[in-house]
Amino acid sequence: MSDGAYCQRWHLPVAGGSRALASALAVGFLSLLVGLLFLKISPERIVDGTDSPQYDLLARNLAADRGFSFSAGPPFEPTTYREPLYPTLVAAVYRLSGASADAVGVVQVVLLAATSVLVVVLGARVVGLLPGVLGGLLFGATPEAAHYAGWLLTEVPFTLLLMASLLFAVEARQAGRGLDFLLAGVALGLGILTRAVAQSLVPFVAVGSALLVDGRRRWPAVARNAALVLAGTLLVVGPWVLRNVDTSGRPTITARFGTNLLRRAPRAAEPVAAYRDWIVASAWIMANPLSELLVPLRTFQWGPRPEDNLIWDFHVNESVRYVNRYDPVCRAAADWEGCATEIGVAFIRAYPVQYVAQAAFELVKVQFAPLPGFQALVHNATVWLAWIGALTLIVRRRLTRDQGLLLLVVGAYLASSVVLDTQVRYLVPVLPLYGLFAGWTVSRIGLWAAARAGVWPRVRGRVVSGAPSSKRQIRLLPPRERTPVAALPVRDRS
Amino acid sequence: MRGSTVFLLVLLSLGAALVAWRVWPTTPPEWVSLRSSFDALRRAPVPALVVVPFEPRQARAEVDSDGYRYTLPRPDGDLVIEGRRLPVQPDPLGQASLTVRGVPAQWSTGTVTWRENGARYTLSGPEAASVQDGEGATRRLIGLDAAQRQQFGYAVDTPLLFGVYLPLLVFFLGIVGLRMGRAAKRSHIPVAMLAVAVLALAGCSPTRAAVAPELPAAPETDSPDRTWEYAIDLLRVGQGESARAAFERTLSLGADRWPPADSALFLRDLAEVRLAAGDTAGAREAVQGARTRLGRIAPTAQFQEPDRQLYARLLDALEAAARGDTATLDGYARDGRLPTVDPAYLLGWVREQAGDRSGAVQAYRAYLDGVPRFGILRRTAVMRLHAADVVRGA
Repeated sequence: MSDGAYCQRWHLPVAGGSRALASALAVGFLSLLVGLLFLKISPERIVDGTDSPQYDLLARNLAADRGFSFSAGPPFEPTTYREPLYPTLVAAVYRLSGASADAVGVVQVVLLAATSVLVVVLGARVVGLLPGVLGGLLFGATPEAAHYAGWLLTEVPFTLLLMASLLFAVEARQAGRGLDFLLAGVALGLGILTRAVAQSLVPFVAVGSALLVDGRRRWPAVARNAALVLAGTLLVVGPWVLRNVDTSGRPTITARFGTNLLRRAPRAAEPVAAYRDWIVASAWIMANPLSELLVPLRTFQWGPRPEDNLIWDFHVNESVRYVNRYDPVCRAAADWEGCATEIGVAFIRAYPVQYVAQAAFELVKVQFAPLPGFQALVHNATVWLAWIGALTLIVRRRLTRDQGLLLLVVGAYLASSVVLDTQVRYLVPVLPLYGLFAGWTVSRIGLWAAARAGVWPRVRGRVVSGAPSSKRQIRLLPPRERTPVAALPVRDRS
Repeated sequence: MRGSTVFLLVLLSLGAALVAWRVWPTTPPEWVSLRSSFDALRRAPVPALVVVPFEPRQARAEVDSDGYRYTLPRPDGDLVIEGRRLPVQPDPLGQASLTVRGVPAQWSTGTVTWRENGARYTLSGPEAASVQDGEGATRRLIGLDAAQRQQFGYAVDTPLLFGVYLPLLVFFLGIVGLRMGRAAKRSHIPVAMLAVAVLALAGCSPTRAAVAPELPAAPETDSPDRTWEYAIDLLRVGQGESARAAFERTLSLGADRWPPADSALFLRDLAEVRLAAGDTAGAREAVQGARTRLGRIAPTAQFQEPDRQLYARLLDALEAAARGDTATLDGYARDGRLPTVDPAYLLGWVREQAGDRSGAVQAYRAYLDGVPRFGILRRTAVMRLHAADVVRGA
């Protein structure tokens, strides 16, 4: 039984159905309005202290036919420090708009709306329409994504490409079509050229989608499908890698590995006494904004400026101090990137246990918003609800293959972020997936409450929901968990 | 594949091509003449050497069967560079008065002449008014390829990004929009594409060396910031002597009047290069200046008291090294409270200067154990090489 048939049986529309499409478009429209509203409220597009001035400079150089260079003046040496796709997109908008950063903001809001539509469609396929709509709203119609859509940052375009890749991967997994596998790889390749962290997802999407394919598993087909994802990715990133070999001698997408490592690795050499502050900061951030009510942020203030704060030390200040310490060394080295990488790797080799242990702090940093406010409330609640939902599905052995694929991607993404360097904005690209699982949790609670109130049917003690078919559930699901079709309160079994 | 699908694909392709055509980058008007000049010089019968201006200028290039002439107008007179084929029996060059690009050159009233690559080159103009000026001007000479890359970036970027990636992105977003992922079922084309991609990547050797960098071009203006950057660039390419001269020049341009954070770092750099050159008095003077400025840096969240202590320790160690004070340096090298091993290097260096080779090796070993984790001085790359050489020779 396909997802579609299953959901029709339950009167829960799936992607492709008119109700799903209408819902997705409605969520997209709402995201568009919220994004435009934020553009109006917040006029800043290029913000000092973020990466946006770098993207602006790269785009201006591209638009002036000076190549992909970080120099504000000659010599315009080619750079491999940033990925090329986003600056190219910004340069294209600059060429059309006379270098208007506001025009880039508008384009990004449109992309944000498109991403929200994709999230709903993906959600309807994987967790059901209601959780899908909630996930789309939790991502696209909240201040966080709208906030990033207004700045010259890669968050929104990268999220769009990642969601497109996952949608093709899910379609490929369900139908086993070669072209879908290839398109999933192409989307990942474009994503890698926007943010290189997507490299870590390639094996998981390739093997995961090929291995979990519906129907009888044939190993040649699994290998072919995984190879197609890989082919799509290599076809896209290959030319850029060749370009980097020619300019820097290294077959890489970006040369930012060393910088990221330098921000995190020296912490491994800090004494044990420093862990107390990090544990306090982590606990506070995980419980934020509830923690603000119990122990206000000002408790951790040690100086007059807003950033003179223990929480901010943990999140940003220490990393900046490490980079400031080693930048003079590497500026005078033959190869800045190689120098930074060598220093970072030397710390990991010297303090491997500390480095691994500190991954726990990085997990907190990447997942939870550090400063209190409405945005943090939505963000952190989404994260907690998502993990509650995912763990419930795993523990109750109701995780479907598609859901497993999404969790695999989230896990790989978190792992690669944690290994190097993390900031809370790094979560934004997978926040829609958190939104889908959070939406599942909220919808379950809502349906349970509705069933308790007698406005939604219950079946043999369980609330009926839009969970996909048992056929697609991972084999962990025992037969006794499957609800007999005859027992279902169906209005239309056709 | 249905006709409507083909139609939509063709439409998408045309749309993507249209977007690329519409946004294709163009050279800003003020730089067009320089670009045209460089393009013309590509046809020169001898390797073209040019000077790249930092500000837009109406450059001119004339190419004939014998060579080329490149003119860069300036308010105080034109800078002219000529390259001519050498005759079979060239006249002997007179007494060399300076060196240009590693070869002997001759200066005479506003003109520098030298021979390389089978051609005779002259540089003339106000920049060559004296021997020293001429030498300075010729340091900014570079080959045409490097000049083109310096001024107009890497030539492949525009066609790759705007001719391949941008249309691909547009096309792909169109595909997503149209949800056309259901067309092909068992096509072997994707597999063939994989083979092509793998072969293409296999063709690039990870061990291929980067293009050897030309010497960095000296800044055109008397800007202390640019001169400092130039000095660091010279250090980067192993030109220690020239780097020191550039650091001194930066100081003379007023680098000590920068904000405390910048001037403290600059003066620490200066102390390092002076010490390495054996100018201990100059190094101590620079250390004192750096220490004063370090004390003036206001503490921030990203410059805290431990940072100040760390950088102060580096200055103390440089000063102790300038005094030849091994006892103090030994104390610093053994003090594990601050994350730096630079005092161990300086201890080794002082011992080496004093002829205590075994003591130097011992200190250098301690230094090599701690780098790159705790090596913070600007010359760390050179210091590591030196320490490793001495230890290896022991």
